[in-house]
Amino acid sequence: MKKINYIYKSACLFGLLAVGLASCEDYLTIYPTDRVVEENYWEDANDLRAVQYGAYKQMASTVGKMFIWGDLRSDSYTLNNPDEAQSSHNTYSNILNGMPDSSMNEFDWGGVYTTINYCNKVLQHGPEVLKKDKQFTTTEWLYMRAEMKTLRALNYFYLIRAFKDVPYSKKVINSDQEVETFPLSNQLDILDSLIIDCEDVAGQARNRFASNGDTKGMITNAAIYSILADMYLWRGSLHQGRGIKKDTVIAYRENTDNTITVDTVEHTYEGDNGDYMIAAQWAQKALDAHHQQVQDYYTSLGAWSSTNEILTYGLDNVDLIKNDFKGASSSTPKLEAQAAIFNSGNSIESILEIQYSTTDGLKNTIVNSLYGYRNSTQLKVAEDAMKNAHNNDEKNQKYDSRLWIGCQTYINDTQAKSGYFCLKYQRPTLEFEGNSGSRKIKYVKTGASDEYSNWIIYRTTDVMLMKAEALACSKKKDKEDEVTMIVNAINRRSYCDFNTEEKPDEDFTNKNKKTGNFSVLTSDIVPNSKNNKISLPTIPKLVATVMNQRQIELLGEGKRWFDLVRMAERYSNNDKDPADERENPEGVAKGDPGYVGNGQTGMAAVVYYFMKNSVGEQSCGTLYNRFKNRWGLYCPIYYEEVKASNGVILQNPVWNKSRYEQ
Amino acid sequence: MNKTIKLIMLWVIALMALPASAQHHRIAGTVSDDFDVIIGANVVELDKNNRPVSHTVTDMNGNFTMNVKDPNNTLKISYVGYNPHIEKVGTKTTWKIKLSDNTKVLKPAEITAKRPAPTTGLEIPATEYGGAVQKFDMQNVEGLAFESVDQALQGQIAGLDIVPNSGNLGAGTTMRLRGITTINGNKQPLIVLNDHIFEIPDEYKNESFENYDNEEQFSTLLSVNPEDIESIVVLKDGASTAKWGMKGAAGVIEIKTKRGKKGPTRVNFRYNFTGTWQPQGYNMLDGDGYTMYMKESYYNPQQQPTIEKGLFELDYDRSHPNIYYNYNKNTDWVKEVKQFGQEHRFSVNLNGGGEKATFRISANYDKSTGMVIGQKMDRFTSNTALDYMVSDRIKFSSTIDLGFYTNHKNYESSGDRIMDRAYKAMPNMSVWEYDSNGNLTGNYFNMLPLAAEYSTGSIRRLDNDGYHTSYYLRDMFRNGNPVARAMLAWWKMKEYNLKPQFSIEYKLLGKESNQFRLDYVGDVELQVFNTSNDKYCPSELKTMDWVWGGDNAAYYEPDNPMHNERNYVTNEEDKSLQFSTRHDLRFYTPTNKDHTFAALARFELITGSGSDQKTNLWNVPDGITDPTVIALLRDVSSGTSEWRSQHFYFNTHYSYKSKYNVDASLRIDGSTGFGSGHKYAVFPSAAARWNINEEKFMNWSKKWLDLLSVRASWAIVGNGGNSGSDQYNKYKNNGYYNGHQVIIPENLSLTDLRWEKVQKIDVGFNLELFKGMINADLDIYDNKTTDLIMKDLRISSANGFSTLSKVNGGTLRNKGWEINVSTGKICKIGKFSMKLRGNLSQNFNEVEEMNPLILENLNGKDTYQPGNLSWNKRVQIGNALGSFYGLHYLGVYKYDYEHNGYTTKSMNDYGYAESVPYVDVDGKTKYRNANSVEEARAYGDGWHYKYNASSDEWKKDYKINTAAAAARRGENSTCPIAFDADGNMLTNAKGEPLPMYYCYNESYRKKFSGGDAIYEDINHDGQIDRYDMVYLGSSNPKCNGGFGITLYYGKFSVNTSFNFRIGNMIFNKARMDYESMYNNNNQSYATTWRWRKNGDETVIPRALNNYGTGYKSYNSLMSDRYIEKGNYLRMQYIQLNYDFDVKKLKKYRIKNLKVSASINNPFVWSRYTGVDPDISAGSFECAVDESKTPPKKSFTCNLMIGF
Repeated sequence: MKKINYIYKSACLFGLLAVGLASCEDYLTIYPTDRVVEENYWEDANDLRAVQYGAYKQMASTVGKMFIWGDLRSDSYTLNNPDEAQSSHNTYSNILNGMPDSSMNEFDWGGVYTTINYCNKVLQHGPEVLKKDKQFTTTEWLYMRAEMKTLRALNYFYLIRAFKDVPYSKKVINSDQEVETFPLSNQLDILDSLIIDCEDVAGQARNRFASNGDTKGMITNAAIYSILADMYLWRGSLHQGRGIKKDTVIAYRENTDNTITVDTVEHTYEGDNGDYMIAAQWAQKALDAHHQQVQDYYTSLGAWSSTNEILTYGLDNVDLIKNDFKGASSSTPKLEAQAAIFNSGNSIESILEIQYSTTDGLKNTIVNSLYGYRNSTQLKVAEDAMKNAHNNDEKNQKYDSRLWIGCQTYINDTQAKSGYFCLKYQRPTLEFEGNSGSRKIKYVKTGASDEYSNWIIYRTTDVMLMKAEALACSKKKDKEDEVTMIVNAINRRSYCDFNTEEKPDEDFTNKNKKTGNFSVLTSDIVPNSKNNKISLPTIPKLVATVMNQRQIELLGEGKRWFDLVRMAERYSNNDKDPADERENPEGVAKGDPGYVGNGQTGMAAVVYYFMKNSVGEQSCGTLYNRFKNRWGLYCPIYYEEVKASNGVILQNPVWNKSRYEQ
Repeated sequence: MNKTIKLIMLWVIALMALPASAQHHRIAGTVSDDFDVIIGANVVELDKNNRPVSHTVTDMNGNFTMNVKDPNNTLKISYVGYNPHIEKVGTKTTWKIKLSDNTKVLKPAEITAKRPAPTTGLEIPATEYGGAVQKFDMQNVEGLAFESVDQALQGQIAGLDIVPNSGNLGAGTTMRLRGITTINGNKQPLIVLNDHIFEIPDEYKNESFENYDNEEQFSTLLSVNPEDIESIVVLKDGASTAKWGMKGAAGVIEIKTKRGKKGPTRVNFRYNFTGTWQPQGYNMLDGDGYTMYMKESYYNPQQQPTIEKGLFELDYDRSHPNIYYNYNKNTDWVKEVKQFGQEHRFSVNLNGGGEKATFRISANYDKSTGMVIGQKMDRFTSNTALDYMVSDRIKFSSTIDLGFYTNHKNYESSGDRIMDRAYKAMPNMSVWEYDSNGNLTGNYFNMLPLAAEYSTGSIRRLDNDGYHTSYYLRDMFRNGNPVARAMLAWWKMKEYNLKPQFSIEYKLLGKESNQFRLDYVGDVELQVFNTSNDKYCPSELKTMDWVWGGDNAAYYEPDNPMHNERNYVTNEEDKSLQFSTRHDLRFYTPTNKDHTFAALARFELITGSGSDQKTNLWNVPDGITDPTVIALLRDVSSGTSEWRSQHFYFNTHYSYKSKYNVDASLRIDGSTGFGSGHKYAVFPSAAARWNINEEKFMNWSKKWLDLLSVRASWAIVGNGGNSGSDQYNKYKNNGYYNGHQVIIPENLSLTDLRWEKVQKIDVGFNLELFKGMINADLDIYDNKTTDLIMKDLRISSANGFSTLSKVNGGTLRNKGWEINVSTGKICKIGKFSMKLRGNLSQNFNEVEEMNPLILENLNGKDTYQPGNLSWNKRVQIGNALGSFYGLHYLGVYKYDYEHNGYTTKSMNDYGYAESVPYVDVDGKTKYRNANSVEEARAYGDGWHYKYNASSDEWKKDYKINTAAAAARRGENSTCPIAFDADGNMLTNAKGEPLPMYYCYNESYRKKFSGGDAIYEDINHDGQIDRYDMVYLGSSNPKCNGGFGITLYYGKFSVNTSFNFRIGNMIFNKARMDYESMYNNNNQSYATTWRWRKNGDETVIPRALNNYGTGYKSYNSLMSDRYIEKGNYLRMQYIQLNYDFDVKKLKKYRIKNLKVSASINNPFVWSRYTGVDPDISAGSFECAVDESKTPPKKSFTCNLMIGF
């Protein structure tokens, strides 16, 4: 009996040990000590905010790519040292020559989706935190929601401008089990959805933040309006080129509690309610909101006075080179507005700019490697393109302080480099020669590269020119004066008269006079094949003037290629070509509202016309065929992305012949 | 953990308290022998389990009295030299006991019990077990000097491939048992010491597969003294390793240390001395050869003497005495850093015990110096084993291992070892410094401060002023003076390992094997493992400015600030503590029945924690090596870790008359490394064995056949392979945005990640003949790993992340067979006899499946192109892991493109005026100058003919030195011209041949030229690029094994052992480096055969310095030029033993005296051109010979004396 007792007791103890020590999975769950795990995260508003700032920061790491997608392919640049055998040099050279390759990691869009994912995370967990954290108010959540939805939309907007069709998802993926391969969604469908997203939150964001840096560095209402203006301008252009005049859009609206309401919305894309007019309205709203923001800011500083009212559309009340210089004998001329906008950052006229700083340890690498002049700088501004933008008027170029053609750029006092480089964000200084009154600019000296310069996404002149473009495209006669006025206002402040002894053209200083001339675009151009003579679409002079002004004003700000694409889409002469099998679903016939064609000759001609200024006719001729297809305007999809999708994501048909995909 | 300990304590106490108390009764008596009373005899009262209850000793008169606790108990009276007297207490109160002298009745005891199978956790006979195991007795290698036990196993175990990592002290070995079953998990077999997993905590192992096996790893086995080892059992198949679950997937090596034996206390002392030296390495260029090579290699790229003009170090120019005197030598750096290594080893052990308790205590101390100057190692290990039988039912035992070891290694930074540096160093440089008058200063010579690179413009300072080291020699500057480095800088590695282990065995039912038994075994082990690494690099090794960054040397490789190591102090400390506890219930039916059954249930739990910290400082004041002083802090980091695991294990065994035997087991493993739902995995196994010789129909063979059996086993084992915490969604701090704190989600959680599964099938046969005179076993196996855990799968980035850090995807298969044969003492002729043993094994490894995206990630991106001095790690489906891929090397272009002889220009420049034969009017064949190129092409034979007027003959005058002419002469006419698949020259529209390119499609394309390496243009596209890379062989041996012969003659014995590997390839990276002529490193003597001018026929390309000139040559791409066969047969040792006759030594109280001497690694028969063909095949990398210190050659003298 005793023996059995032993066994019984032992067994009991054994069992107790086994059960007590090893009962559940908890024992085998060790959370890392240097990280917070999902299970312990999303407790209060600070958790939301930290990821929200993470989204901005993540975007900061992708603007380099956005510059490449949105500007590097354009006619504004050439290579600095074409012989230099650097691998990145080779990449830029190929991109500039219209040979982007899917193996270039410049086309890896992963980082942008990371930003989108952070936005999605905040949007998903907001309502739950709102319940948990009693100090977190609904108002604050709505601000946050507006910011994140807009930031997400902005990132998608970059993607559809660069790649046309991209995977579109608002889902939060947490684990390897949930991983999916998202197919490509139609560019226009995404754009519709983005517009709805932004309109939903328009006006719900802050007008301004407590600090000026946050006001410029994060999404405010002014930023939302600017983005909307941009999106409408794009939609207008896409619809115009594709001949779509009316459409029904199914709108999935995300409510504040993450539920979804489905609406069907009728859209007309022409007339007073057309996309262009709405774009102009949003642009004006952005300018007004920005104006209000500036006023509030100065009032809060106690520095608001009626003299500030002369701010035209919020432009800084200074010339790019300060007018005070005129006649002064000793003082070094200052690039005051230039310095305020691009070097100091967060200038008055800024609406949204990504913040870089030493304290955050966040570097603007693209500016560091591409801008200014050092041995390693790889890009140079294409002079021919600039001449063209100035309508080949030498006098105009000389007066334009944004260009200074004919000046040499120096990296120090001894080493001259002819030609000119993108000096934005570079703290350039001017060296003069001659006596006061008859001074000339001797050279422009590149300052230290500023790797911590902010990156401007929208600023007042950009929005003003968006409005001008929208008004010009709307073909409304009564708006023409406003277009001219906007262009002149921007032009005027950049013109300085101490470059030569001659006086600048009155046209440019008198804001009431119309300006600009785009006669070249109406002439015939001949691509490499003799028989294949094609004619350019007629682009209204007013539109052309705005586009030229945009190129000059926004040089180096990641805009020009997108401008060209928009213009090419707009004048793509859609009717001339057969359907593109990738894009038109079965049953959609030519002429149907959903029909999207290739947009052939007009598109090619526009791009050809501009690109020949930078890459030369020879190589441009080979590009012509690629640009005949709409897909040529958009970037190739990174090859790893295509491979990883297992056939769900198809490569851009123009670029599917990668060097490495054989 | 506290909770665990408390529970165990509670439970131990509970068990102790179980025996109930009983009533007392008093007895008295006398103890005597035949002659007199016995004083001091032990009188012990034992309960029915033979547990002592009370105890007394007889007095001066041989009397004793004591209180007896229970009349049912027995009384045991014993005294040394007498047979104990045992009697039941009963009611008897007065005792008269007579003890008899035991010397008279001593009889040899005959042991009939069967050898138990060591592996399943159950005590079942080895002949009833169906798995594949091989036992190794340490007595076989007694007297040999092994640093650690793995070295002793080389060539001894069929299927176990062991390759030493290097000849440096404490470098350890790479072991592969039946091939590689995983890519990202641990590939080394698991070491089990005394039934406990013996490994350093996971945290300190580098999980990245690149450096899994390199010698910076802790050589775990160093802390087990080979002296203390009793036996080693290697578990090969799945069923045998099933007990160890996921950790045993790569095989298991079970080590048992010696324990105390009953009997009088014995003391054994042992000393051995080992002398070690390195085998002969490469012949390198001497000072003159080197300077000549350098001059050429700088001239060749541009064909202009632009650079080498300024390199005064090569000029022997007395006008710069500072340089002249220090650079006019012929230093053999390799010789300078080699030395004769010595090892002294002392060990002592005490061993003994009585009925109740046995003990063994050992201590061992070695002191050794390495074969490279500056290497020293001290090691102290101690092992204490205690067994205490409380009663027949209860046994406590405890083992305490202590290891402490310090390894004074050569200081290393950026992976360069002293031997490497010695091979690279400039041979015209002096070891010791001379002043400008040519007198020795007594200091080591360090190169003068490095000349600066001009910061403005792109012009670099070519001219040396005589007080600097030329800028172009900056790699040599960094390489430094190897001798000074070995002597002045140091790296002290210390390791402490303390492992107390305690276990209790309790027989709950029967005590004998013919009863029903239920045993409980509880076990607790604690492991304390601490390491510390201190490194110091003093300022004497650097001649640059004191302040970091004050010298431009700081900028030539800004990414690697380690090069600015001036008074650089590093301290790293790792500490860990692991606690494990295990509980077994074992059930046996009586073994004397036909049907026997046994079962085991086990639960084990492991928990541990560790912490580490690291401090790096530089510019520490001279003379201070402590990392706590104020200096420039370069890096400081610390971390903590925690790990846990638990498992349940059930095992049953059934046997019918020992004829038919079946084993089955189930292990449930729990790991923290996986996400919810995948934390536990179940791994089954089964094994069966049929002992044919036991069958009745085999009775006819009883006389000579001891054993004939067929075994089969099947198991699925797991492979953890996962560390880190990616199974959770993590959020990490990511700096700031505009001053606001940023936290970002870091990963996708790996909730779907599962264990790697290895299905192992094994069929084996055992044969034993003539009472164990001949033993043989054969095993055939098939191991298939599925769900390989692979890293970094690219996924659609719309998921928010572009990669999944780990994913299951891939199948790996190992098939093979092994045979092992050994004999007893055979050929007995008089005093002579011999023993033979041998084994042979073959393993075929193949990657069967893999996710293409993972494969691409492993193999590098599509943009990969073959590069100089590098090789690509590649996994290809259908081939083995560790295979080589590269270009086919076809020699050296004899002619450059200009000397092709096919283009008009070439013919004009180098001769096309071959003479044309014609028949003159007399009908004689004569020659005239060709009238045209076409004629010359048609008739010319590559010679210039000259008409000799006096003899009226055309004579061959000189060879025309073009490829075309050589081709016509039928000679080697290689020239960098592209050919199509049919061997026709590719030509342009003008008919001119197209030159051969390196990577024509890339911007860095390069034309090949004369004297460049010829690579086969596999796809005939006129360029050499990654599409020309082909499979070049595998680093896995086709078969490997070993054999040994032991000869006995009286008290003498000679023991030899050999091992061999056949069919493996080695990538001789060392030769690639020393024949590349790519940079400023010293080159092998073979390079004096290099190509120098058009028409030279050689296999060594021309000298082209890529380092200073910016020129790129592609003469040292990965190709079969460097892939060599690694076949070898090595005599591991030959040992002579002499056993002294113990009887003659009795008067000195010596019980045991043995001397032996051995020579280790005396011969290697191999055609491999490197120093030694023992090159480990990394893991997923191939076998690369990087001129590490080769395995040593040594002799050992050994003395063993026992008292």
